[in-house]
Amino acid sequence: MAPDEEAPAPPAAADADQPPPESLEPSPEERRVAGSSHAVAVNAAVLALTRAARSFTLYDPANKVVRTLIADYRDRFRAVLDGFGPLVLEVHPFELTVGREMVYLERDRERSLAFRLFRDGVRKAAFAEETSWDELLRLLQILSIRYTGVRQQEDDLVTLLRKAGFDGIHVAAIEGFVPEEEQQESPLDADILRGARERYDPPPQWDLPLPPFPEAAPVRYRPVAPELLARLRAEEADETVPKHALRAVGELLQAPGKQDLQAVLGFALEVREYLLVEQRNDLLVELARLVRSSLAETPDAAAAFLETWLDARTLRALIATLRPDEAEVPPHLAELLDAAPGATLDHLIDLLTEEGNGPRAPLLRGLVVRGCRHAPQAIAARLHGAAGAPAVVLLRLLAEVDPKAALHAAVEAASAPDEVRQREALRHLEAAPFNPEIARGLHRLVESRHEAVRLAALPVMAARGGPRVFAALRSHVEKHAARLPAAEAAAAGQALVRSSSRSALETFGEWLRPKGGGLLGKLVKMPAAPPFQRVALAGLRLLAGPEAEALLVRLADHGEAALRPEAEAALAARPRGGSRG
Amino acid sequence: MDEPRAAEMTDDLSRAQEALARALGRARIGEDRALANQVRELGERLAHLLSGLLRMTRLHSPDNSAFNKPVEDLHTTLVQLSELLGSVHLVAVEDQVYVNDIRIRAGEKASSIRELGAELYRHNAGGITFHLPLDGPGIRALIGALGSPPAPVEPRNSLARALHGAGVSGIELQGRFRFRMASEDAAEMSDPRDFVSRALAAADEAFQNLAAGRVPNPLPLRRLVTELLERGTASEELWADPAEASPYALHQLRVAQLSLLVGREVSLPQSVLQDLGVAALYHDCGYAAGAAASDGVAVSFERHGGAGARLMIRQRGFHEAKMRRVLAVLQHHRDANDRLHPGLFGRILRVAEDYDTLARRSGKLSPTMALAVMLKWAGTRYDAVLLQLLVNALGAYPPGTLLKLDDGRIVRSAAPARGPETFAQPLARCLRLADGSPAPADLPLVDLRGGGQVQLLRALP
Repeated sequence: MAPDEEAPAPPAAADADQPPPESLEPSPEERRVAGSSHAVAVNAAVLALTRAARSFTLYDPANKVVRTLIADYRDRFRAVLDGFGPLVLEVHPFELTVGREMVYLERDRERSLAFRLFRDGVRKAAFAEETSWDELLRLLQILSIRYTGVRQQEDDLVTLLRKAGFDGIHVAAIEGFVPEEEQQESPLDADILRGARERYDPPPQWDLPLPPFPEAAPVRYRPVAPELLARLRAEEADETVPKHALRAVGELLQAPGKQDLQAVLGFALEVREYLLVEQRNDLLVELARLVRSSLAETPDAAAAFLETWLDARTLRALIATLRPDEAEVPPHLAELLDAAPGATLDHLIDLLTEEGNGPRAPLLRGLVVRGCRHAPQAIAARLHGAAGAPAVVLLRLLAEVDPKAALHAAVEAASAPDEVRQREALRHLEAAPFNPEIARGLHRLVESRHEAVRLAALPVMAARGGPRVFAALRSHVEKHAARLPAAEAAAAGQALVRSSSRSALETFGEWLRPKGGGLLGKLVKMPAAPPFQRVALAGLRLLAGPEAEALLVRLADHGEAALRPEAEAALAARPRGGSRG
Repeated sequence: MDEPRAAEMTDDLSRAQEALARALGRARIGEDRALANQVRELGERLAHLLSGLLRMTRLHSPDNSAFNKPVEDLHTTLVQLSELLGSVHLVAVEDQVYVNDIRIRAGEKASSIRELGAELYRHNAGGITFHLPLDGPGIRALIGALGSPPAPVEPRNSLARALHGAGVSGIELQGRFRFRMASEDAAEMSDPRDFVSRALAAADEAFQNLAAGRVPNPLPLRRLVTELLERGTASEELWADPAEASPYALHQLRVAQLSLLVGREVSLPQSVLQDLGVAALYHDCGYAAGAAASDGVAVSFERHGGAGARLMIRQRGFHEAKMRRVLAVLQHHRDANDRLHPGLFGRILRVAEDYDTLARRSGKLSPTMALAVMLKWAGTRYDAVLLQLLVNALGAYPPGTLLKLDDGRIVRSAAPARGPETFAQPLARCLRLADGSPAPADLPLVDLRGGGQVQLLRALP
């Protein structure tokens, strides 16, 4: 009967390697079928059919789980038909029976195969022993469409079953209702109650007059050769539908009367959906070119259509037609991308961020860079709200398109909360000519909450900034010394030296030598706290000269117990006169 | 399992997944979920409100103020449904209720649905068609009459008269229905005249709905085509011209019958035949666009193809049947040898349409002569193969052809050709006996096989 009712949620992506979820498992009631071995086998087959048909509400048809369920359905039906011969299922509102035996029971309307079949008017389904897999598959297709809750305008279950043209499966279904008068009543004046409904009739002589037919030919039976019939059938074969669809769009656009152009373009977009389903990516391009050429006189309308036409899925499909190693964008695609630059760039960026380091990344990057010619600010705008890996991709793209803007964005990214963005920012700042803005960015990275970033940023800041950043580095150490992990303390010491060896030596001296000569100075041999000692030790290792050596000696004698051996080792490693002897 | 067999089965599964993905994808792009939901919800509301109001009549008189709100709701629902669907058909069959063929979910209100059916059955009625949305007084009169005891004799007609007397108009009471199973033999099928009557009503309704600016609803027409394909075209009644038929609807139906005859000769698959039949039932729908023309000017012959195609695309979602209809409607007057070569459906419709126009509508040519003059244009206006297939299917004396037999009887060919061997010897209805007197209506059909010479007549003498 008519399209029906409770619509389950649309299919969601599911992990192919996960076992089927509970909703696909038979309920206890569905399983509770006992009886002859035939009944048990039929129950298993029906459950397999139910699970397979239901699976599309959860999974993409290409999912491995679906594959397993289809195989189970095939095998279990085959086992029933091969083992027990023809199968006749009687359909009741909540049960399926074979003869007097119940082979399926489920009272939950959402789950019940029996309920869905009964609701759709099916009362009996008979399977011949020789029912082919192809037919079982077509039956599964029809039931799956019903389970996924698609509301079809064009078909109902009965018309679908008819179209399927089954040989081995016979379905008894309600096809409609027909008058059945037990008590005949005399004809009533038809218009007694109808009232005057407004009618519209075609002009009385519609389609007339016909052109003249002055001559006649004998009317004879003439057999038509089978190959001519085959040629006619081929015109409407399934594989011709995409071409016909394109032709329909073309002819509608050419037909006189452009007042409902939007409706025609809406139809063109429906055709695009169809071509996407059919994976006819070649014709997708042809469709766009057709519309574009038909609307040559109204370029604004053409451009607006192309913006809509070239959505993310279409673009994905078009990109999929290109080889990953394609060096140049094919002209036909370039032409369309250029014709709809606005939306395209955004979609391309999406695809690129999805692709990550995948094989098509270079091609996509090229397309984005190309697209940026039309909207150079697009990447920066996208970068503003981006985070994580996509932001990295965008920052790299921006560097290709607009290096100045990229540096500015990198400085901003230095304050981003995520490590991946900060690392990318560091990469850009490291390569940039040093200036106060870069210094600010590097300083933010040195202050990062991610240790790895700080470790990486310290030497860069020191190397790029030199003496100009020494004060900032020292301040950073002094502010955070108490919390510096060993590795970072070492990195900080080295950074101070690389920034300015002279200033570093003075700083280490300030930290390590006693303050003043009073009693306190004599009592406190090592005024610096252990983290400062560690920073200094790392720096002093890099510094030659007696002054540095003296400080090392001081560390070896009065430093924290754990650092003394390291200081001793540093002294021993010095080229000459480096040890206390 | 040996390796090749296992590989083959694995391949089977891949193909199966691919086929399922496409089938689901196609189904999804073909739906207009918003419209379907709206119709279903309004339909459910109509059925439940009507049932509730009828229950209330057991306690209150329909003019009681307790009815105000539900009556108002029912009126609003009817107005909304009417805007979407045109005529609203509420049908109760067994324990189910349908609104324009959409089954009403009973849910927790199953008893309410059953009661609605029972209330109608008391009056020997199986449904109500609301051609116009009833106003408040109309609704009160309807539920008052339905809630009253049925008349002992002809209760449905009595109910109709009572409603008429109460000034209710714009509705129609239907007789009782039963479900028709797809597996029923042709013999168990309803009277072909009933089928023709339903088909004409559906074709007319489809046209009126388009004229009123509504979205095409091909499903009822597809059901008719499915039924027609199942019935076959041999029945005499299918080729008779009902006197009360709308000329437009009859032409659409006749072109559908003729197109399906040709389609069957081509051995088109069932799904394509269904699409062809629906396209034929819609083929001249472009004339409906005249109703909406701001200048009030009817759509011209030259423009009706394009106008019809644009009406067809009002239906949302892609379906190959819709696309075929669009092309067929656009191309159905195009010559076969036109530079823009028409598609198969367009060429079939052209042959079927011109034949019906020449043989039946023009009133100038007998069916045989219509075929004869068309044959002169085979290969130019008409696809030569398709025209020959029509000739082969209809026979030398297509249905409706008047013939004088050598014994003096005058007969009318009753059905298409039964095969090549009886190409020129159809079954025929005797209209005049040999003495020229009118033949009794209950005479069996005359089989002209093995008969003598026949003479073609243009009209009854």
